[in-house]
Amino acid sequence: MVETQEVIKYPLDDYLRTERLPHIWCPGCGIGMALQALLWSIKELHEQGVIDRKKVCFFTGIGCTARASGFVKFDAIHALHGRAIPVATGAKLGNPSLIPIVFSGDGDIAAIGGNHLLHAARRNFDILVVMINNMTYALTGGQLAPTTPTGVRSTTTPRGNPENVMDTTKFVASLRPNFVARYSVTQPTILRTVFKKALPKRGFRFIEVMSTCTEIFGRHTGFRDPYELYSRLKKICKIKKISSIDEIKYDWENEITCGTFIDKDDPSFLDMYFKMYKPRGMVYGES
Amino acid sequence: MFDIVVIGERCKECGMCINVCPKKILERGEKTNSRGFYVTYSPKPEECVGCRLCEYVCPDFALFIRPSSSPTYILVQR
Amino acid sequence: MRVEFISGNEASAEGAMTAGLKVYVGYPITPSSDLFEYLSEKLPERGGIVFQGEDEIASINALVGAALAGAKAMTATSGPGLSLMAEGIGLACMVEAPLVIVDVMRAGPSTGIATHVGQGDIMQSRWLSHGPYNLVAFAPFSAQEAFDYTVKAFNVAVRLRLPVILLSDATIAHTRERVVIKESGEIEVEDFKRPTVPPEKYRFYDPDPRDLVPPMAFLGEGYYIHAESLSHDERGYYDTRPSVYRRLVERLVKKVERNKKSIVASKSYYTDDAEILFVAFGSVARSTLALVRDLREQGIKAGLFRPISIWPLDDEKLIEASKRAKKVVVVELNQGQLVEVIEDALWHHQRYDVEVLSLPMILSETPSPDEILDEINSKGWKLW
Repeated sequence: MVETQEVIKYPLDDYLRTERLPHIWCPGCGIGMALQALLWSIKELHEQGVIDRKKVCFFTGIGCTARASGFVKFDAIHALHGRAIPVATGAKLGNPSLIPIVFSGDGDIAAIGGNHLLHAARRNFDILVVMINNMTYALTGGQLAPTTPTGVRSTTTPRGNPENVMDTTKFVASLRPNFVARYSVTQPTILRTVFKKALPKRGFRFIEVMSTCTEIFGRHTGFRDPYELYSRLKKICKIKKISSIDEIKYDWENEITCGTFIDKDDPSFLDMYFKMYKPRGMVYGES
Repeated sequence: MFDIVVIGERCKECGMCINVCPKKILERGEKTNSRGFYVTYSPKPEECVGCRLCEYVCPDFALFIRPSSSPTYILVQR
Repeated sequence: MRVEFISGNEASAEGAMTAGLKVYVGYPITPSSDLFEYLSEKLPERGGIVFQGEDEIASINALVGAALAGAKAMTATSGPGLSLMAEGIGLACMVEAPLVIVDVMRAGPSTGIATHVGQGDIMQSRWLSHGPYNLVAFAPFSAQEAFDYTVKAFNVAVRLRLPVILLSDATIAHTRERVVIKESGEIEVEDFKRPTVPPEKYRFYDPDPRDLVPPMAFLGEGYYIHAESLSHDERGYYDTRPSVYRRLVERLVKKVERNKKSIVASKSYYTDDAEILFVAFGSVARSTLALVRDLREQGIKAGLFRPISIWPLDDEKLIEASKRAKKVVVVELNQGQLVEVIEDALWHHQRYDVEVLSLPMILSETPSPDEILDEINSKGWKLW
């Protein structure tokens, strides 16, 4: 064993506001795992010269996941609850050379921000949305989310959730944007590869990351140890190839279908806008 | 062969790394950091196979594995 | 420079283009939609992008993103849309994003009468978001002023890093008039206040002590800015300490006061010897001015003070205009909002001798001079 005062850098330290670590997330929280995978993908793409890290911007709403904007060393806007997608949209319009990443939670993106998600996906607007799904409102203490499985208790559904659950990936896939995928923090290397694939693409890209919230969701479902909840997620997150989006399942008891469900290169919103309106003196990428 | 590097101040003692390690060579250390968390420790770093599962699941950017000619557990104190 | 015969909405659109508008995000709402349509046609060829959001919440938030990316950004809306923008305006103030909102006022409350005029957004434009903050609002009274003050709105927005509201109304918006359109160079157009230090020394919320405004780096330039909606320190890092909160919020509020002289605008008519001072703004000021001229012809010493900047008010000029006035009559198309502002300013300057009379007109049309006179007579005030 060696104890050292020497500064040995963590491999991602150049991409983190290290002075703000440790971050606010609870011990064993999946958000940090997902963020690690995302930062690795950016680092690799930057080092390969595929993207310029200076152009990468984080846009987050409000929630546990949304706090990520304060820990990453990128341009970042920590915006209002549910509004990360429109802020990212505006930034991309303001400077089409930016690479916006919306990194936020299920409550932020699927519930209060649902309308923005719908229309950004429909337009095939040029942003990457990473939705970390921990199946609860964690920062506010465990209220019901649209992604909370039916029957599961929350602080606002103390006798169990009576609602139908929202399968956000299936919903976004129905709008046919350029990229739709769902993976889990229990699949870290695949997650990194998928981020790497989606990041340089044009059009709307949506990646849902199933995550673990031991402190709150775990408490409500009887998993008191991060590893127990992680193992449960590992068991039900099954990677499949599908022939129809009807085959995508979001069932906490048996299967949360994972995989890359759409990967295409249709003209994006900005491709179309620049082609049809030719804003003077402006260019969008190589097209 | 690999070094197991732990940045002590970032560890939150969640135990994920200890649980996922296929060689079972990580354990809860006896030293706490300034926040009172028992920082992950490895008594036998020479048995590390470099699968990096511990690194991938560490949510706190606190632990990583690096190739080394003299495998060591390194606790960074800063 | 060229002369056109255009509406107030079109004049605002032209003003925005002169000011260097790069991103317009809108959502259709009467009576502002024709401004949106006009820009949809014209802005791309001037080097900008027009985008239709899914609602007004998307519009205002997109403007914040666009502004921080370094684009001059604007939207236009009306009362119901402005209500939806409340939280986003607070965000723009907090992250210090310069942007312009044209609020074409219509008859409220709620959906009211979409096609008719109102002036009921005075308090809303200033206080609609929660918490302490400050912003600027200008009210034009002609198509020419819609042009001039849209340019000025952009200048103030980028100089102070805050949202500026142009309080137009349905009558101004749709009245066609002669407008002199100037290009940048012929009229003062200000650019963003840019960092003077290298990225490693730059802090996104480090104010210039002279004007309290932090220079602004854009997204994508390598400054690694962190724009924060939570209470934050100079780096943009969330901080819950009361001292940090106080330093931030006091600055956000004070930066308008500190720069007030370069913002305020007003116009006074026949006020040198005015014993009865009318106060009115926007389209109602046009009828009130006509009434003042009628009264002058009858030998009555009436005058008009017309605030153009509503927030902040040009109170020094108000005091000057009211120096001989015994009575101040505030005419407005709502239940009495501007009167509160005027009374406040007079009392602040110890003008307790002036009687302030409120003349709210609950109409959904711009009143004629006779209608204003009838309303005065119905009150039984002995003004002359």
